[in-house]
Amino acid sequence: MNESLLTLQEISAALNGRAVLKEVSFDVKQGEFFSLLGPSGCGKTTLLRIIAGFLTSHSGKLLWSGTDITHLPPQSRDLNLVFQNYALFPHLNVFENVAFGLRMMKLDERIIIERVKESLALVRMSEHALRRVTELSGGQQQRIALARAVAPRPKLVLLDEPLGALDLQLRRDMQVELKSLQRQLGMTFLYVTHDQEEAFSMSDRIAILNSGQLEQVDAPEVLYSLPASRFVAKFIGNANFIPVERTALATARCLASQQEYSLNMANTSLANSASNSASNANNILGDVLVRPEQVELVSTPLTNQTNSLSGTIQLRQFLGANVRYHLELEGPERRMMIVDQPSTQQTICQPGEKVLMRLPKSPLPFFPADSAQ
Amino acid sequence: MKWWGLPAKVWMTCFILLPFVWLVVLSLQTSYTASPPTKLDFHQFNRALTHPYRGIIRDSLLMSFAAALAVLMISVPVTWLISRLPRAKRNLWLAFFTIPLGLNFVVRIYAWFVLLRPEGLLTVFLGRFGFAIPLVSSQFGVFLGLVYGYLPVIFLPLYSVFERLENSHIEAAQDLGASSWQRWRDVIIPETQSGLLASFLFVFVPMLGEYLIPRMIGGGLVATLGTQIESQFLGSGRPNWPFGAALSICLLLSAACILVICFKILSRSTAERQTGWSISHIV
Repeated sequence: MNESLLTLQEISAALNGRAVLKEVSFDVKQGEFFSLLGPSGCGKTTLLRIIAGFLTSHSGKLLWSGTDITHLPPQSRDLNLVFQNYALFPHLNVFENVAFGLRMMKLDERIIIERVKESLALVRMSEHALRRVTELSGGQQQRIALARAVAPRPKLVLLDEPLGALDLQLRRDMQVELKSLQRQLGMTFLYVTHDQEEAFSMSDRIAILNSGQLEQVDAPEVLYSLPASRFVAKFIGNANFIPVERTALATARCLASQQEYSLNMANTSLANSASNSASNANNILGDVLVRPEQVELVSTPLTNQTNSLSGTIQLRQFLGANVRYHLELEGPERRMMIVDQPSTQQTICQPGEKVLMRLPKSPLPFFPADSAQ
Repeated sequence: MKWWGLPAKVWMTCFILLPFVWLVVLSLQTSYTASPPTKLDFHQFNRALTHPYRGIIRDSLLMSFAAALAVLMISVPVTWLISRLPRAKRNLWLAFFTIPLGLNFVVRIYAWFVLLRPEGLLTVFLGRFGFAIPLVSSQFGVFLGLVYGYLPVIFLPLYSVFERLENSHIEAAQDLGASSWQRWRDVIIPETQSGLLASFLFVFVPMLGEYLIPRMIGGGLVATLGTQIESQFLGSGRPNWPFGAALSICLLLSAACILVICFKILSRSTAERQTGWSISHIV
């Protein structure tokens, strides 16, 4: 599980003179479900094509269990790609589509039949073996594309937004199915998507890419609670930033309420920031990150509460499991905040009401003001 | 059918169906002088299918087939490469190869004739390397002429066939381990085969009736179906329209036969691919 299968070393690429990847490095470990997440145009598709071998990186190396495969052609790489548009062969039926990779390996006919049956059973498409692929629905085509990719039993399966064309319900079902399939096969999956919910629901680890640069590689839980940058914080879930002044290494004072907060020092952006090494005593302006569900609303406005802020409710949205409040913070900046309260909670606040927001006692991630965005 | 289908129907009747019926009637006459036809018989067809015309028909079929195949073989790699270029560059290259279509056919063929003459550049050049073959007034010369004349014609249809082929299919094959020639054998050709066949027929059929190229390059010494038909209608000797009509119908029928055979082979190979390998094992 901890053996690294694929290693990217400072991969850079340019398309038409424009840099699309800037020294991207990460490791994909044997047997993990790894996602490449980023907004459209962040370079994730380019990176995927480099890994598959359809593009060559400008500089940097691609290692496969330690051996250099940077210049290996796609047909010689022990990985298969599930294409975004499935790219099934319209002139072949379902069986022959799945058998394609096996035929290229020149396996014995008996083994081919065995493996195709097995792969079709995995995606629950056995009864469609003799149909034309053009007769299948989008979801069925998606399964065949997956079966075709896993049939030759590659070490790594690349998936290029394979659920993008499916409707929401089917997409959710397929997420569960993909994940259990990956467990069952014990194969390494590298999944490319722009949908953070999709990446979160399946991945062991996620690499976040932003305009060609790698922002962070971590488990979903870590990405959510300890984002390395403001971009990651905003891209994953809803993020509230509260302006503070850092007074000591692990404390900050809220500019609006003059209250002290404890800071999370595990936060990498702070640990790496140049100002950190310069002087700990110097006060640094910045923001702390608070997730919407970390806040507790108290409708009776009391002053002098610890770790709390006051604000006015602007909007209330009922979201099923949660009620979402949009609040305006008291203070010169009038910042907006999003607060989620479980809908099982009895107290219901109305727009216009003045409330107190009680922030968590646990340490909060801090982002210095000079770390752009 | 709405009313706007009417012009097409009228056109079909007046300019295709009626002339065709007239051609058939003409071919069943004994001689052109008997008009209106008094007696209908197969005399002209009998003549068309015996020596020397039977040989001419066979040779024309073979030569057109070979020339159309050569045109296809030459143009497939070129159009393929053009279709895989970045979009902006494609049109320029396409224009390069289809500009000859804008030139007069006679001028083009004459230019080719100049090269093929005994003192022409190509003949002299080949002679230097020990290939002293007569290129004019020979079957081979006519073959070369057909290939040259029809290359620009096949370009556009063939290009549109390849242009429609999705790159991701080829990439998928490559990703699944297919080498360059396996991608051609297992994906590119099977996916485009109906288009390839249509492009082939697109040059093969007019080649069969071609008379200008055999006339100019064959120098009257190479008899083809096209030249025979032409001389029966327009020849300086004794024109024989009924016989020309019979030859025309022979041409039409042989073209139709080849068309049918080609499509039969195609649909059978597709059916085999769809089910052949797998059906016995799965069910």
